[in-house]
Amino acid sequence: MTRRSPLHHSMRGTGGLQVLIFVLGLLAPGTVLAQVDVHASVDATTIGTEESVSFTITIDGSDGSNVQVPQPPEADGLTLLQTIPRTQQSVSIVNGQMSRSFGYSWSYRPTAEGTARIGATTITVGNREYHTQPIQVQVVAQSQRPARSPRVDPFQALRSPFDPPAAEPAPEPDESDLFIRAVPTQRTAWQNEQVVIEYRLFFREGIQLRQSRLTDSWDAEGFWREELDVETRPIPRVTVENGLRYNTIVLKKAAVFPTRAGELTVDPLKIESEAMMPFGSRDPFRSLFAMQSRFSPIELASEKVTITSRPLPQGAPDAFNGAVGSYAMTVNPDKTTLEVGESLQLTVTVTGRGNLATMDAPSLSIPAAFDVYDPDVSTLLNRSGTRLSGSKTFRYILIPRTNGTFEIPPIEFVWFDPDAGRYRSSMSEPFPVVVTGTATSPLSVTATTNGMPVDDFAPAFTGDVSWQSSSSLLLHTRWWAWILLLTPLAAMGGAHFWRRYQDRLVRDPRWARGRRAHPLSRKHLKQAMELLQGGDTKGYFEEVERAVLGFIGNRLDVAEKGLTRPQLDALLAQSDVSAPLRSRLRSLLDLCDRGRFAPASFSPENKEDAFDDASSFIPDLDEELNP
Amino acid sequence: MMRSAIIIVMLLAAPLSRAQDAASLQRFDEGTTALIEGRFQDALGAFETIERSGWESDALYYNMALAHYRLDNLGQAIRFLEKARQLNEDDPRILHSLAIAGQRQADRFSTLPDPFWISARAWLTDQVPIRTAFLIGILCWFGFAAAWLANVVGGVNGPGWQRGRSVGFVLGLVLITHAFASSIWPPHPDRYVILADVSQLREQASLEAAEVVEVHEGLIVDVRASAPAWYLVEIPNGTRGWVPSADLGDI
Repeated sequence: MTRRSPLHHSMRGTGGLQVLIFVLGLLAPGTVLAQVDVHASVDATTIGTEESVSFTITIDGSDGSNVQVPQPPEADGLTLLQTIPRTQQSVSIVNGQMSRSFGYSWSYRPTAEGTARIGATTITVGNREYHTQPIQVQVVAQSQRPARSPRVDPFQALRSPFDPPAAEPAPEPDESDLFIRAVPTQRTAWQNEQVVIEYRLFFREGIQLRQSRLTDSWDAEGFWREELDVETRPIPRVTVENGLRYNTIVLKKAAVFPTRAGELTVDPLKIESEAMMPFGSRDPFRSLFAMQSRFSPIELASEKVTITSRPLPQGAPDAFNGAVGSYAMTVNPDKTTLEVGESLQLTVTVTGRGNLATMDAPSLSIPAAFDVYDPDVSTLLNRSGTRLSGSKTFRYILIPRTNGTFEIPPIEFVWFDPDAGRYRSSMSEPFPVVVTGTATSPLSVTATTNGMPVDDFAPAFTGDVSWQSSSSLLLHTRWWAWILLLTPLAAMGGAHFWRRYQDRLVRDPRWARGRRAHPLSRKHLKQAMELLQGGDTKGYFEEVERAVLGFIGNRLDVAEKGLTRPQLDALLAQSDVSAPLRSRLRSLLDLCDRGRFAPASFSPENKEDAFDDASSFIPDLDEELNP
Repeated sequence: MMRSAIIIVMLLAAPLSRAQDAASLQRFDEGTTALIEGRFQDALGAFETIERSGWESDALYYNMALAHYRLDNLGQAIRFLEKARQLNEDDPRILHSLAIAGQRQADRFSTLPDPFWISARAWLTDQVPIRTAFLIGILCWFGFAAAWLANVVGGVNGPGWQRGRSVGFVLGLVLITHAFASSIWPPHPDRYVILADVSQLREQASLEAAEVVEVHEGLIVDVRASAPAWYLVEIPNGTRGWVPSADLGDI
């Protein structure tokens, strides 16, 4: 015997749909509670004095089990027709998504013309209280009202499609029943900043649309535009506008980027469709046959959207290339070691939110030893979010034409951050690339106008070279500089003293004869020696005597010729010459006399003794004359 | 006798020296060939041999810079480019390559302007280099001395001679003074290049001292003082700090 689980038992007893709802409720109770939304609405904001207005409180996301029955709100100028509210609940599953609604409804009748007001009320769902907003209703004379249109049943959207329509006949919808609203994320934007415009269709509950299509007239001149994804089978969301309850769906979302500064206008969005108001008849067969004719063609258009585009601030960095938004950059080489002629792929990826489609590649500063080809650009856009985002990848091919170690310098990407209102930048890290091998052909690089390669050193110096010593000695440390500097000074000093010497020789004859004494004596002695060597003994002694007497005459400034020997001796005595030296002089002069008159009596040794005596006598006498 | 010995030694040494010079120049050609063929280390070995032998030229320093650049030694590349520029200020290849190397230098400091007197002296030194000033000054000085000697020794005189002597004396004195003053007190301080990838300027000559600023390879700095293994340097914006001497290379 097999025991059945309570869940299985319950399924058999309650039916498939209810069990499915029950299971979904067990699986996601938090989700259901979290989506509770409370709206208050009326079926019309303008009524005649003989009409009534239906006030409804709708609790989306609740089946009513945890809702305390609310009290009807107080009203000014309106009388409550019944205190017990009408209730209605609905469960729907669309695209696997379940939604539930529960509603309370009261009817009010005006008491007088003028502005009536339905006050706020409070409703408790679970442990939480929700407050509705007051709603104003204009009450006008019944004569000012058009023929009474069927009141829109607030629960029409909650009814089964097989329920009969509530009223007839159904008129054509007016502007308050059905319209398109364009909602931009902002009205003022920087140039190239992303602005998302959402086009929402508002339609009163119960209105049915078919064969809807967008016309082709939508344009946005002055903008770069990208479509964002919207749901192909949207679930209407309930919203209350001016006290009226509407279903809304998003028709279109577009990201627009102003490409220039100024007031720029986005065209209205237009759709063509066929619409049908709720049926007025409760006869299902009549309604069924009348359905085709109740759809009437309509054309809806949103209002224009005007965006004020501001120019980007001054002072953009040099690397700025027009990117506006929020970005990050990565740089990845596929290798860092390769051979000459081999290719290197450098991938620069910019990821973020903004005008990815229009941004240019960041500028590269690749060494000129590489051939760089235009990048392969691929853009991946994510259109599913609230904003356009994605990535743009630039793949560069670099081929080195020479070997060496090169550094790929940092790559800078600059963009303008509209939220911060300033420029931002991202800088990659430099990385080395080692190229091995030998260039098979001469390096070919792009040259600048002056013949220099772009972004690389000039070629090596070859040919004639002008060499010089690399001695780093400074001028003041070089000896030859001082020699050159002092040589003229020395010459001038020498000339100066020579001039003074010459001048004294002229001015002071006594001093001049004294200065000449020695040289003349040396001259005579030299001649004497030559005569001796020539065998002229007589001449030899004459020259010796001339040398001695000449010296005495010059030193004492007297005419030596004509002096007798006693006069000479007296003169020397007056000059304080010592007696032994005077005696040596007499002996020497006697020797010379003998040599002149009897030269044959002298041996060679005697002759040289005379020369030696004269040579030693002259300095000795000079010394005694200059104590 | 001594004079004869010196002359003999010089005569014997002259062919030897010429042979050494020829060997050095052959090494330059070998280095240049290696550089073109991409053997950068071999090229540098040859060039450094020449440098050690006491020769220099703009071509030698430029090719050394190019070899270092190819080996990704940015600091050494800038160092030798600056050396080359000192020998040949106007060569477009040197100036272009300096600009290229400068673009890779990571530091972007403002340049503090020099006081006017330093600028004036630098301008004067640029216009009249030391050697030129000394050469012209010495010629004037010799001319003055010759005229003076002609007057003193030969009695040559007259208004023209007097003016010539005065001009020669004044011009020679000014130029020689300028040359020696610029040699003893150079208008520019010693310049060095940061060779380390990253180097910190510190408040004191110690690795424990607080950091002043971080500088990068290739930055040219002025040396203001020195201590054992440290230099006090000034970067272009006037900030001073101590840097280990191992992080620097002279220009």
